[in-house]
Amino acid sequence: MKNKKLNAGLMLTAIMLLTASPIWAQTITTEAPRNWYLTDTTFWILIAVAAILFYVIYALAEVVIWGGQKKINEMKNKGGNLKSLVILAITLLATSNLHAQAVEVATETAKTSFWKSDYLPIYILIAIEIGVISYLALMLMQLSKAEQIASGVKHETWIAKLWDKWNYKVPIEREDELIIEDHDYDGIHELDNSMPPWLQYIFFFTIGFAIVYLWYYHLGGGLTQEEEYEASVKKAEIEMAAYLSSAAASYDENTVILSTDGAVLANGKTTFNNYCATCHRTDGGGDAGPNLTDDYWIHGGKINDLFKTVKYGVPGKAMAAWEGILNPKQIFEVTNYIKSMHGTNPVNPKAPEGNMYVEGAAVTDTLLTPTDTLAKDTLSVAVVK
Amino acid sequence: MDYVKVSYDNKIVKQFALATVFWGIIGMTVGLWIALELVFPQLNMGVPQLSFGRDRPIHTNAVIFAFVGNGIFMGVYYSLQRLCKAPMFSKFLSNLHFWSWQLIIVLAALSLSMGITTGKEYAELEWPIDILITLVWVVFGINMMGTIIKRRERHIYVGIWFYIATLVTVAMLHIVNSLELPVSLFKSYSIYAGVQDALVQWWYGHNAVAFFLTTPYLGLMYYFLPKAANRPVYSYKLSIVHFWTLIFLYIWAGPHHLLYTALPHWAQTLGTVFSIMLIAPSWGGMVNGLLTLRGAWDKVREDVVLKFMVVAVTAYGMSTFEGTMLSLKNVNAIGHFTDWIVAHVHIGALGWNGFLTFGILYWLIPRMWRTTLYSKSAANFHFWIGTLGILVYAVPMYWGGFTQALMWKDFNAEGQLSYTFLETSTQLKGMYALRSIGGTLYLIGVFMMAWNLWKTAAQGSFLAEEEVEVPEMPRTYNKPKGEFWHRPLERRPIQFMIVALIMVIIGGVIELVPTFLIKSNIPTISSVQPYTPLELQGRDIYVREGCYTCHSQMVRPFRSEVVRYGEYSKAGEFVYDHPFQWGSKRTGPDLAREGVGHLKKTDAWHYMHMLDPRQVSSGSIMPAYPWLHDSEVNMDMIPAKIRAMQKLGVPYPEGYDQIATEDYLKQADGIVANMKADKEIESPNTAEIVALIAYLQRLGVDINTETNLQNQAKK
Repeated sequence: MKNKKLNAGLMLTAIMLLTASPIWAQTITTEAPRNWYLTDTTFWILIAVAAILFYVIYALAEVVIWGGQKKINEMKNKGGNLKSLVILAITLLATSNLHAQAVEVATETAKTSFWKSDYLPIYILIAIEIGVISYLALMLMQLSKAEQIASGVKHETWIAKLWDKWNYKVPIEREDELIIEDHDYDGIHELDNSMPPWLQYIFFFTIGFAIVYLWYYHLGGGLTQEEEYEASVKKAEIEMAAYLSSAAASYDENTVILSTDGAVLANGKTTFNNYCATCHRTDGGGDAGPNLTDDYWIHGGKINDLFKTVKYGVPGKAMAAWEGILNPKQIFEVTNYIKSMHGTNPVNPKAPEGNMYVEGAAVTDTLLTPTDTLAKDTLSVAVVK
Repeated sequence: MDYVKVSYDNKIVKQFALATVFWGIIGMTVGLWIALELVFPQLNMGVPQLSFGRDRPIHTNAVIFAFVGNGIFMGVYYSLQRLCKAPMFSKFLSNLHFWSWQLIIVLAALSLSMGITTGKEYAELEWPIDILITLVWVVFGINMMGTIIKRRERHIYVGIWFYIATLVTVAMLHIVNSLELPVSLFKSYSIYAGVQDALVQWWYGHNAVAFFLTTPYLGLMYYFLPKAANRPVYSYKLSIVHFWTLIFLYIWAGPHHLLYTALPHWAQTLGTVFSIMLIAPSWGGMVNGLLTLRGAWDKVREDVVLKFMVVAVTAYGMSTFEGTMLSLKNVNAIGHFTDWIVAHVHIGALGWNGFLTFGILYWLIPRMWRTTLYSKSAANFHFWIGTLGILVYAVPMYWGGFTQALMWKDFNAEGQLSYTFLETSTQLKGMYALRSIGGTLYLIGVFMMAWNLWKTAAQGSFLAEEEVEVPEMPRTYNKPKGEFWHRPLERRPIQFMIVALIMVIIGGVIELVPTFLIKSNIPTISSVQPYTPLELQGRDIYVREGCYTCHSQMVRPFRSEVVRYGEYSKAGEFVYDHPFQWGSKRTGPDLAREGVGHLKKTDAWHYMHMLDPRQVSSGSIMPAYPWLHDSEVNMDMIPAKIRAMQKLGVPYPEGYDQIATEDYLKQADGIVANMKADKEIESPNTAEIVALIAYLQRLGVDINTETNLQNQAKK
């Protein structure tokens, strides 16, 4: 009879898991490569949720397992333990099924951003919840254990003692003394126990917390939601700027690419006017240095070559090495600005020098004479994202 | 001591018990239905009565007011007579109460399915039904207080304290929140607008949870748990402390539903701090219940009634704790608008209310039918499948909630949002599917219970009148020496009721009155204009179809929301919104800025989208609304609606109602022409869809005009 009930429960769980797993599998596998960050975080949250469930079910199991049994003494027999093990196994199975897939995904991807501060409250909350639910579970278990003790089964642990100390001032044998006379409502009596001290402490703590909270947000330094918003936008701007400069820091003569992005060109123009215009003129027409708007380049017209020239300079010539003054992002910007000046035909330019360069042509270092008129403005457009 | 024969009326208890089970099955089945609609949006088959927006209010109203409501009355009518040693004050009132409550439920189901709604969550019923509820509540109140006054027990028991608190507070909440101006028999506008309406609504909404789902059920717990366990209540002192602190503190907590909205900062803070202080008082009930079982845990192992009650009380403790956590600003920032909240409320509803009701039913039915439970193993199976159902429901919803929150807030390194809203909602389909499996398991358990109780009743014989001899209460009372200070109040139920009422009024007054009277709480914005007649009509359709059940209209001041939706919402934007439509859940995206910026779509887009959302945005789980394209607006109502708005203080020029229809058609013609030019769509100018499009195109325009003007001025 008892086993039948258990079997029914088992079957049900099994059916549930079977029905559930394809859905999970689908959700996770299809989205995995793109949402790695999300999956990674969710994976950790999942562990916490699973842990919560573990405790809840364990506590419930402790209470319920004994449901079919008639005598307290039977509690200690193998059946009882076996059953709780089975329940725990089911719980673990149910959750590990999910873990297994999540782990797969998680291991493929970088394990960053777990402690990303934006999500910290979730982790703290889950930690607290686990604590609370463990406490509840403990409460249920201890209540059961206290019962064992009361019915003569000696099994008093230090936790049981602590539990009693925390909740009961008077042992159950002396409960009669606590029954309040004159309190009998349809056979329901009331005891003169005091509030459990821990509950009182929680109450006092929350009142203190509330006062501090009020003070902090209305008299102390707490931000209003609008100020919080402004702060988060500022923070994001700084982060983005940092990202962009660090992303640009990875630019070198080998990886630099063409960009027509407005911000890039605007920054490049500033840099150009500050550092380059002295020799090449503001309009790039050339003065001490060569003309930068025509089709001819002394040290190569490819963006990579330009980058190299700006960065290292030309030993023995007037062109300086700028890498100590300009950061790679600035060099990236300024080279792109220079490329954007191509074909602008400034007035009174310096005569062409060097070799002709056609953007996008297969062979870029072909020697051509300055008189060649085939040069076309075929600047290819590559936008930096 | 003189003894008198009294007879307890069990028939009324039986009626309410039947109604509890019946409406429980209906309400949960509707819940399952709408859960499935989120997985298979085609399920509404183009029938308005079957669509999510109309059925979700039916689900919430049915489980709260029909299932739990009847459950409360069942338990109150049974326990009150015995705790007072007196029959109910009036059998006529008992019957009137029962039948009119059922009538209200039927009217509610019919009217909500027809789209007759006020658009305020858990208070959707229109004004005639609101009046009926008030009257029935008074009937219940007279019957209950009459019974208490005619009691043969000197002091009233803690269970009755909770019943009294429920009685007065629900009356107060219902009346204040339901104040509305009728336009017709089936249509009214809330007298409050925008921020004020939101505050009143959530003061009500949160305390509907507190005083309809919590306090009466605590009262029931205080009777049925000690009865079922045959144990004394653990601590009388704890009862006193947690009762008074609970009712006093609970009423303040409403604004925690409005954190990071346009509600004034101080009101948000009050909502948070009182929610935090609420942990210990609400846990008081759980602790007193669980510790009452001291020395009875062997019974818990055997008795399915106690098993249900233990899980119920534990679920109560868990969800109240979680509620407090969700009231913290930083947690709320993540949890609000997500499925986390859905998980949270279902722990409370399925665990606490559901399981306590089942426990009481399993205890009560065999007693009233003088027999034993037909099948213990079926009841145990119900316990198991119900518990599993709760877990299978809750886990995917928690997971879904976290997923949503993380995806909504995720930026890539270049400062762009990582996911579109559609991606975040399609990601959740699996969770929604799993959730409906959990709901199915739970519902199977309820069906088994209905069968089991039916069989139990069939094998027993019902005792309609329970005759008992009780001692007559002596006329005089000699106060014992050193009497506990609270004792005198327990002898005076009317004074008790008044003190309880004062306790719950304090928090409400302190939060509501300043929000209404102090102008600086809602800074006005000069560019915000009243809705045009067409937009107003469109807004009524928006309310009617329950769009607010899935779409918010409240951009919170977070970077992720401002980037996704546009400028965050300001209090002054909502001054003409009767009722407010901020929503509480984002199954779909926020619509507060739908008519401006990068969210702006063409009229034809909206037309096509409402006709078949998946054709326009593939993978969407939004239902189709084809009936809006065919139905025509009742133009006769337009002037009356304008006049109603004028009465509520919306500044339409005098006599505008006379030309409103003309303006309506002019604006509608513009939209019709747009759609014709754009996609060759033919639509009559009086079609409902045209009004709805006008409303959607209006959203966010006012404040945007102001910013636009400012920007132009700068240039």
